Amino acid sequence: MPDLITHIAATHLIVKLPSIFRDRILNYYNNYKSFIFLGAIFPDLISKPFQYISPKLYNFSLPLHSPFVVLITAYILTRFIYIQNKNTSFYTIAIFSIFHILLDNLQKGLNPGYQIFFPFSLKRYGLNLISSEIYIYIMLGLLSFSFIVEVYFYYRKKIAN
Amino acid sequence: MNWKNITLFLILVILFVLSGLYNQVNQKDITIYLNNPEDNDKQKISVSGTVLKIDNDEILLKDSMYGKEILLKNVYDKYQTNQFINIQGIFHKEGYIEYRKGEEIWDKKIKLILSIFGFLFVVYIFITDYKKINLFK
Repeated sequence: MPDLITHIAATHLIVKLPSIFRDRILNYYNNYKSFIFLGAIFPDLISKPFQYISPKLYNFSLPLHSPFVVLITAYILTRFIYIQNKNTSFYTIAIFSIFHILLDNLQKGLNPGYQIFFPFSLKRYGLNLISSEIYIYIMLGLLSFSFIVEVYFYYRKKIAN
Repeated sequence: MNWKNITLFLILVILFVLSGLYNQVNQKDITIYLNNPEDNDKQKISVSGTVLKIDNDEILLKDSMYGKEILLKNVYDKYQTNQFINIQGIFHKEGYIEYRKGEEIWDKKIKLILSIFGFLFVVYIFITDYKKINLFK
């Protein structure tokens, strides 16, 4: 799994890049950015603490990283905590959580991915595309690109004012 | 917090516990192999842990989940003591694992440190955006 900085930078880019061309997306980002970034780290947020409490809980925490549990948890959570609209809050966390799981599954290695089809199948699936040796460069690339995009928006706002 | 919210929260707790336990019961971890070596003879196994001792092509590995010490045989890849590795192999009823392939997990600490920064960033965004967030309304 990539670290949370990689997840946050990738999520930032997939929302912020199209918002260069569409003001509606920029408004959405400005209103929902806390939930966008919550979605970006959500599967790790609900599963990793168990692994840090005890490594014995690894198998216990594995399904908490599956789309099934993540989506139900996001739905219930957005009944308590939401921005403007409960459904938009749910879709925001849901979409970016799924994006998180997709990014996790790109990583290459002996560890065979996550239980994508839990509870229907306990088998773990991974796309095995990006090796851990190059992932650190991907993280730095995404972070730099995110920074450039933010600088662009900073100057665009300054010029508009 | 009304009854509807309490019910939803309880559903969430039940979902977590049931899905976790369901997986815990159905997944084979190292204890299943060690407790029933006869039944798991020549079965595929994946283990991760720290290299304790190296003796020619044999490695003594401390499993990361339960701290069990497991002997790996026929290890043709080069590892060093204290390295954290992930291996796949064949379990033998005598209690050792015949090594097939493995890799060093070198970036565990880096990922943890970066993840803490990532988490703190999201906390910061939540704090700056707290006026927009409706809590229990």
